[in-house]
Amino acid sequence: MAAATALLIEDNPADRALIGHEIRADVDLPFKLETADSLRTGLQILNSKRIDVVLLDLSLPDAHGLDAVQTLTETWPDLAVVVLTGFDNTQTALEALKQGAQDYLSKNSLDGTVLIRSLQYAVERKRIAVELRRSEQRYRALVAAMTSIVWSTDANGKIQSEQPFWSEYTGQAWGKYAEYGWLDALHAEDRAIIEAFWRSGADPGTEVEFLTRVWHDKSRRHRRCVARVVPIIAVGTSVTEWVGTLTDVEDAQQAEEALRRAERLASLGTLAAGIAHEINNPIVAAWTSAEAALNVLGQPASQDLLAECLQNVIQSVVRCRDTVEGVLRFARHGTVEQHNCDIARVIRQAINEVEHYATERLQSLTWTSTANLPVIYGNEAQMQQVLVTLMRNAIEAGNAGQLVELKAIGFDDSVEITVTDSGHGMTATEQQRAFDPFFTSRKERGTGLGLSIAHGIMEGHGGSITLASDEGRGTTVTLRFPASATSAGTKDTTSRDSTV
Amino acid sequence: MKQTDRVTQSHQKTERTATVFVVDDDAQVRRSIEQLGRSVGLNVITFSSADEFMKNDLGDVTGCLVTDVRMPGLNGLDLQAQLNKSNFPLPIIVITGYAEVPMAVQALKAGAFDFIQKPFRPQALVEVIQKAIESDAKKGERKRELQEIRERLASLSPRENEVLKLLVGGKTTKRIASRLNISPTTVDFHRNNILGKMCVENLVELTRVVDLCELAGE
Repeated sequence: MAAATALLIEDNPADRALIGHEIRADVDLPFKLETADSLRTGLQILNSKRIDVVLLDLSLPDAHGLDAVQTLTETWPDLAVVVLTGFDNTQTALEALKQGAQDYLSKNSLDGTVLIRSLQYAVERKRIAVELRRSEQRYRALVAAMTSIVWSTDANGKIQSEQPFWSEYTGQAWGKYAEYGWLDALHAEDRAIIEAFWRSGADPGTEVEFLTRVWHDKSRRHRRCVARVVPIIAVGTSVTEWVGTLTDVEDAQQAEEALRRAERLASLGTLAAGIAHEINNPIVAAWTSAEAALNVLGQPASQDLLAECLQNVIQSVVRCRDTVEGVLRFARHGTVEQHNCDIARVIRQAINEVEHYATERLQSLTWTSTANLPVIYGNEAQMQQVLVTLMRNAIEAGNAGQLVELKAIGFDDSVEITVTDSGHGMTATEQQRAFDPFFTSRKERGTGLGLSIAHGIMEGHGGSITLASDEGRGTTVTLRFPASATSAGTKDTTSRDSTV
Repeated sequence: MKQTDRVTQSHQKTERTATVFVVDDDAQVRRSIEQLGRSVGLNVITFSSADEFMKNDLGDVTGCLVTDVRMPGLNGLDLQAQLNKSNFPLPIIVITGYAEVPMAVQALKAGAFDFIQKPFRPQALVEVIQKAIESDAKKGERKRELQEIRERLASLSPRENEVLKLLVGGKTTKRIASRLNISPTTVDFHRNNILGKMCVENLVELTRVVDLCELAGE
């Protein structure tokens, strides 16, 4: 480390020479020495180069003793100052220490060794003080930046020292939160569990985290906070104290709740817009035809038109009813009868139902299955509905000449069924919304409820439905039904049935 | 009573043999508009898609087009854009769905006659259709008038044409005579012939019909 530099500010040339001599006389001299004959010159030197310690005469012609100390310590907070007093004035010397000087020496009893040691100590003490101050600043900045409250308790959770952050948050005065008083700041419903933790002898083995409502003085209400406590374990295994942080998560939680609410509303909005859209057309048709019927009422020549109008009214109203039923079916799942089903038969029936539709659109429908399909506990009609929905979607996504493929693979604990098409596929956004009620990527009009209902049915069967799609290349929907818990004995029957 | 009034009123409209073209992918809506049109004596032809509509050569027609906005394939706005390109002559009424106001705005900006939002009062649709038909008929009258003026202009001799240009340019008989190096009597003779051929009473009317032609880009 480079040698420290000392600056001697002394107006008396004899003293300056003497002190300079004393310092230079030291063979292990750790100081470089600068000298100044007035405070003015001294300040100039301080401004121009790095000085670690100043040796300051208190009786300079251009300074009033202690004022010089103050000037130095305020302007250079990292500078160590040692004062020299010509007369053995202890009072003045003590005042100088209060002003921030590190030490004082009397010119009357000046000794080289003492002088050097004093300078060394002054520099060292100042360095430590500066470091401490910086560390404290860092710590305070950290605590402020954390927006958490830091607190500590004794081994039993009693607060034994003032906790300014706690006091500021809760508005509790020192006397109120001391010992177990801090529990009063917790919401009555949350208090018991936390109190129990401390009173039953807190387990020092783990870090503990609580979500609790704490009284917030500024907003005059409780806010949700996360409290984390960590035991400080001294020698041996006994906890000496607990330190903890309290983080206010009210805003974060509210934001999260708002988001969830918005998502729910968005779903509801999609549903409502979908219903409105689905029902508006038949409403328009029924109203318009009814109005037309009214226009020609009583005109003998318009009997045919009247009949047509009324037919259209009825058809439109029936369509409204179908939509409403679809919505209700979507809204109500899980209330259907379930029993052990032969999944292979369900698949075959579903294929029978859509085969004609595929032929109509000049597409082929193939299906393959492993022999070991387990028995599924569920509702046949519903499972068939899901399969029909997927295959119809697949057919509608594709073009003439394309293939729709259904594969069923049996596992010990489940059946996996995939329906794959090589149709127009779906964009990432469409995939995300595929299971939303009334969402449809189809060019043709559909109810937009097919996949939503399928999703509900799969949930009702403890199964899952997932979708993977490549835009322009096709879509694969995968169903997974868990095997029936009581299927073991009926496995044989199942495989025999499936070959019929 | 009100119903009967409406029927009588609309029977008068049929005299113009205007046709309402309806494009909607929803069969029941399509059918209902057709029925409504028939019930008030309008001639309605329906199409299930924009493509189907555009496949038909409509020839020289009067009336209006009613199209749904939300349709598979070409939607109502696409259809409107295509028709605009080919100078489709009929006013277009656009039917928008629930919360599709931006589409209505877009349609109007692209020159739609009007829009109507689902679910609409059937009578409101009849009213807007009748307004469109009237507007189309007026446009037809103007067109016919213009056509007549053009034909009359074409019947003028080259000399009469010269005189006409100077006349509507505000020149006096004397000035025209000296400009064309003919006698004022001859100018007056030509002038009377022009007024007669153009079927107008005086110079003011003559100027009006010539202006009409010029405004129409002749």
